Amino acid sequence: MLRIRFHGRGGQGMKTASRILGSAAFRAGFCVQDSPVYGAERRGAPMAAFTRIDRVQIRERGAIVRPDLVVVADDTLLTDPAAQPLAGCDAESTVLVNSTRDEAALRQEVPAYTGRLLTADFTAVALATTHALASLSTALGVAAACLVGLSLADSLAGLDDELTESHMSMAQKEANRQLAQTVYAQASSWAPVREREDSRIAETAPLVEVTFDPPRLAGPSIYAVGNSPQRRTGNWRQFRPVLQVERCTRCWICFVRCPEAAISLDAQEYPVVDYDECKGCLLCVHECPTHAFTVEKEVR
Amino acid sequence: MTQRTLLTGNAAAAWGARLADVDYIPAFPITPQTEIIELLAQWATDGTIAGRFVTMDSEHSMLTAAGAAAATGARVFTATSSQGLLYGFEVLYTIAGWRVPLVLVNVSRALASPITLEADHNDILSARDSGFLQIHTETCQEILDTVLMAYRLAEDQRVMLPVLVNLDGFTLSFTREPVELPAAAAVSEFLPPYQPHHAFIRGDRPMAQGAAVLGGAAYSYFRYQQHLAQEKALAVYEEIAAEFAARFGRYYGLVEPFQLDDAEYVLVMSNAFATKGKAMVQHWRARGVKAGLLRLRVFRPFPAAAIAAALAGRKAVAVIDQNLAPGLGGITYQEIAAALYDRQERPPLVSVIGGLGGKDISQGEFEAVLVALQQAAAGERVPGPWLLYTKPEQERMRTLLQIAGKEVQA
Repeated sequence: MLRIRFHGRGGQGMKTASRILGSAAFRAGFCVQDSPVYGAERRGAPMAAFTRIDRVQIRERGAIVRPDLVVVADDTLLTDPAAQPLAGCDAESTVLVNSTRDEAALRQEVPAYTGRLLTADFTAVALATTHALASLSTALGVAAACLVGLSLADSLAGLDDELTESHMSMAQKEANRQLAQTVYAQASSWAPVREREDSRIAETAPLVEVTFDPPRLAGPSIYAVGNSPQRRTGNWRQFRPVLQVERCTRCWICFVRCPEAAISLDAQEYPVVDYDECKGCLLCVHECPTHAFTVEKEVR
Repeated sequence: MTQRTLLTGNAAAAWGARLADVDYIPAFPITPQTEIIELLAQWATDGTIAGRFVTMDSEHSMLTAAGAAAATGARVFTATSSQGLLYGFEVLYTIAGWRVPLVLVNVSRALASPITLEADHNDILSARDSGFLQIHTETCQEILDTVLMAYRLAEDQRVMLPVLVNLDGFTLSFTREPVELPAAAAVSEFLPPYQPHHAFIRGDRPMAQGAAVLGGAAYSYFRYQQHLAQEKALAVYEEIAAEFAARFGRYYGLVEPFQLDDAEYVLVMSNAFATKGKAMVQHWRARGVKAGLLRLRVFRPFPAAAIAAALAGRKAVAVIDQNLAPGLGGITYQEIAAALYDRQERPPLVSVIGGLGGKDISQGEFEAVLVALQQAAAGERVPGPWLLYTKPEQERMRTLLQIAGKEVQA
């Protein structure tokens, strides 16, 4: 069996990527299982999706604990304690990271990881071909299909299965097919991921007896309040709003409407975006009556 | 001063809340709400009780308000019935998970469809896995006393779970019988003000309650703690029952054995119809039949050991369920059979369904149950669930079907 785990942020299309891979393998005649896990669904929050491919009926469920291939849509997730994309990886794993940075730079962030690490800027390729960030799912789904050894024809068939269900225009669908061919050609230069020997022998788990705790412990109350600011949400952002001060009339609409209260006012009452907290929802951009915000793609 | 008066079951429940000196009573005021809430509303309006009475737009809101108020450290009372309990159903699980100690009285009525009004226990038993403790009552006196005991149980630091107190619609809720009202001073000694230690609101001590968890391990911990607290509640209940008996002279065990010492044939029943079963036991005893009855009272936590001890070694036992799980049978039968499974001397069990929708269980039907018990004791298998349904009832039903324009064969 091949086990592929996708990590991304809500809205980056990694559920779709896992389905494109699943459909491609299904078209190639394999037994397939794919499933996403979001937790509490929020755009920008870490999520994961799983695809299993085998020649026989798959007798596994839920999260993939020991992946053969990990696809990471966003390199800010590499060190995110909520995402932990490298959990369960070892020297035989392959990790494919969508990033503007090179392998050496990424390895500095995850020094404990000893397996293969591949990196490419799929976002740039996707934007250049389709002008739509959502097509990152096509790029990474097809890259994964290529890496597990599926043919271009099966990869495109899998992509078509997913595109059939989407609401995009014919032109966009065609652009996604072009993107798939570009990415497949690029990923063909990497050696395919190899299937590993399945080892079913596990050590007996050290089970414990759960005993009575008083209600102060055993009720889901939190006494250590006020710790949510420690969780910075600025790295959820894919696009950043940038204020062009000369166009700002200081109407404060952005300041009032920002759902994260990430916009404050400076001494001259001009809005200031706190990029540690701004999730990149771009509500300020849409609300601004003078179009004083421009949008820049986030490059980290 | 102790006072003896005639009270309906509804009034007895309201008196329980009054004597418990509750702080807050959220209530959905419309059908299927009961006189319990009408009486409390009256007392709140005329200043008889100090607690705050608030009407809500549904049982769902009512139970949410009740749980939230209990989470601020208030002593909370509320009541509902049948469809109302089901309408607020998800909140039962929620507030049990919050580990807050309120008391909710349910007036049992059979559930739609078809729509009906009289009692059976499918409403209350649907809540058996919610995390609420559950106590079923037989008399108006027991209702009042149980509400007081329920607060002690709910607010005990070893338990800290909400309690459902059940009484039957009509056969108890609208039925007056003599009730001894304990003196308020004696009640406040038995039931001092609630002192919250884990869930409360205080300006200088903010807290988040009812947090969300993911991944299963945290959820497993919290859910299993509810089970452990319920298990602890068995012993805590017995302490409270002993103290209540010492103070007020009335003892209520986890289960109530009636003429059980040497009984060979035993009926298992609960709630108001247990009174009918007791009368039959006395009748049979006068005929020389060694009969007895075990009344289920505390239903959650399920007192499996007490039940198994009471039933093991009998010649035969009939569990009369005033409920029906379609596709399975009687609900309490299943639990009693499980409680007896690992006992060497497990008796033959007869699964009887009786009193659905408040249908009477006549003396003649009880006699038929006794015949079945004697057959079971003689080694004959009595297939269950066995619905008590008489020939005249069937004939009346056929007439109804004909009136409804249906083709009924003669």
